Amino acid sequence: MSQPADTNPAPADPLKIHPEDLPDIQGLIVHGYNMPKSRHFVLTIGQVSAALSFLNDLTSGSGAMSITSAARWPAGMKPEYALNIGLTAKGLEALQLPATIKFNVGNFGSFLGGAVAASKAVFDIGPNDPSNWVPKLNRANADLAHVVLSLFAFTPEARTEFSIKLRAMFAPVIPPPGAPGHDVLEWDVDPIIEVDPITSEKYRSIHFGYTDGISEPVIDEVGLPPLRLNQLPYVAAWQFVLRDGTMTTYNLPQPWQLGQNGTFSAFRILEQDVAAFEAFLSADGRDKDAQELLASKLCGRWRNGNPVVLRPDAPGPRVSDNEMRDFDYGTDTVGQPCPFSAHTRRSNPRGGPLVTPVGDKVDHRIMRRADAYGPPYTGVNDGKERGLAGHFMGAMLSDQFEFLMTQWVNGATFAGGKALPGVDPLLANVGDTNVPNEDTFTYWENSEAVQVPSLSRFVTTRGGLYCFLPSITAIKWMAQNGGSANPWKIPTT
Amino acid sequence: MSTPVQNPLTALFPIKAAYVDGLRQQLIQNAINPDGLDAVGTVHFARIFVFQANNPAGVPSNIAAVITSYDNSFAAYIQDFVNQPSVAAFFDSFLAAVDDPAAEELIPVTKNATAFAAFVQKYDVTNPVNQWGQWYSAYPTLTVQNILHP
Repeated sequence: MSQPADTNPAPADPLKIHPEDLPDIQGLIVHGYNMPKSRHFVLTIGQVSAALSFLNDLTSGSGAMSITSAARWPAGMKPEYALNIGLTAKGLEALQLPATIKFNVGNFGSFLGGAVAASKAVFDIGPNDPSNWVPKLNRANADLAHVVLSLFAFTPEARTEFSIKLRAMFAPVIPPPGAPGHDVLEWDVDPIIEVDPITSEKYRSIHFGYTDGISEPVIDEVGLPPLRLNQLPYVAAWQFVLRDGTMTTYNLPQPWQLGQNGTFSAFRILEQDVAAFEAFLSADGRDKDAQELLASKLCGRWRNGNPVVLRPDAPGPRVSDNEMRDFDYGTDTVGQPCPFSAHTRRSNPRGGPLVTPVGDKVDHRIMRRADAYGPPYTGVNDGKERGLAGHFMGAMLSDQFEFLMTQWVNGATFAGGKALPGVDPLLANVGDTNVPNEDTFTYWENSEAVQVPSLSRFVTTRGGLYCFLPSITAIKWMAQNGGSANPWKIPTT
Repeated sequence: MSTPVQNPLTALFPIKAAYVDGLRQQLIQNAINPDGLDAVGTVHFARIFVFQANNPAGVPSNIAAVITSYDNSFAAYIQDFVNQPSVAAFFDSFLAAVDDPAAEELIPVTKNATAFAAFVQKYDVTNPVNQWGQWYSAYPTLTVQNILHP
């Protein structure tokens, strides 16, 4: 049996992903699959031996389905489905892994404590409080949320087909009918696919009508081309794929077979109130152009994705993919044309002025694999639930997801706490942020502040889960080493 | 309306007697490179000094003081702080000098930022959880960045 004292014979490069690493890393971490139908399952481990067999079947090729790695697909040869797995700290505990495994409490305390424990810190309070979350994940039941399985497919039929296979695989794992945790959360995600009328290019959008998923961090990898002019730097591999090395900001979970090539995710279900959003835009008799201008200021992009810093006055045709990604905020200390509260500036300040840490363009970034759920908004307040769900990943939840949510999205001191700071209007918990005048959105024209009152909460957290996305090696290791007579317990100090 | 954003930190650490002179020499000859503190962008002022060993009665001995005024949350930005190589190098050697068995477990500080923050706050007499005296700022709502980029 492997022990934490084992020495890693060939530690992975902390700075770059190498081709030989890809088959060991879960694919979701490195790239989006661009498969338009997905379903997230959250389940409880009721039978340890069955769970260990399940993990083995998912990684040995002996099961009906397998975990999808980041190994490159031959051109045009996408698989019929992709499948990834995450485990909460309670889930790791339920596997009865050996007591010798180690997750450093200082580095990974957020993961160990779980999303409910972290809720207050990340402004999941008030209507966002875990007491109001979907039953499987809420405050009362979160300890029984052990495993998240994320399934991706091309068609509704394929999603149904592979869901049937997956349910059959995990049926022996979950508690029996009538026992706590027997229920399985299944959350469908159906990205909104738009087609550009001019270029026929397909792109995804969110319910608020913006093109989404444009600027993701690019993990440094062997063979990447030199950076383009103004391209954000590649991010060192260790920030998104757990590695050992002197430059990392954490101690690799032990043993190395468990820690290396894994990552952490904040799985989130975020309900979006499109009717309230549209009502905010159209208030005060704004005409269509004025509404679109305000929408661009709220997001930092026009709804077609064009950055406001490149197209300050009108959206214009979609700019090139590189122009979509390769921009920064220059020396703008005013918030003109892109307000400091704009969603894209808050969530990715690109090293812009006033935002600390100074000049840094890649720290605190997160990898988003989230898409729209629920029916598209048709302009009528139909009362139906819709929103965004998926994974927000990084090697340290505290320094990436949680930093972003506390210091940037909901923070009173973003951009140095200048007068009229505001909050991220698309993501903040407006009403519960403690930011003065949080319900006033401010943008600047001709160096004059334009204040738009009555901002309300457009996004409400409906569920959250902190999970570990282990490597393929780690899943196999867990399958072999779980069921220990001396099992690991979540450390408290 | 603006929000107060500055905070004080006044951490007084016990120093092993044998390390006092060495720490003093380091502060004189090889202190933290200001570029590292500039890069964090949240530190207004920082004073780090050490009281020599065996002072006369009434004068502190074997104590190092870290006194700063900084912006925003201490815990949230501690990782950015220790990610600066010059900051990390200084505090790695500083912790080796602190007369507390827990200090050694924090080295390297870059990998133990959260625990380091808790350790510093344990010795911070101005930690909000403690009873403490007066701290004054003439411009409590201005950050370092506001001042540098008005």
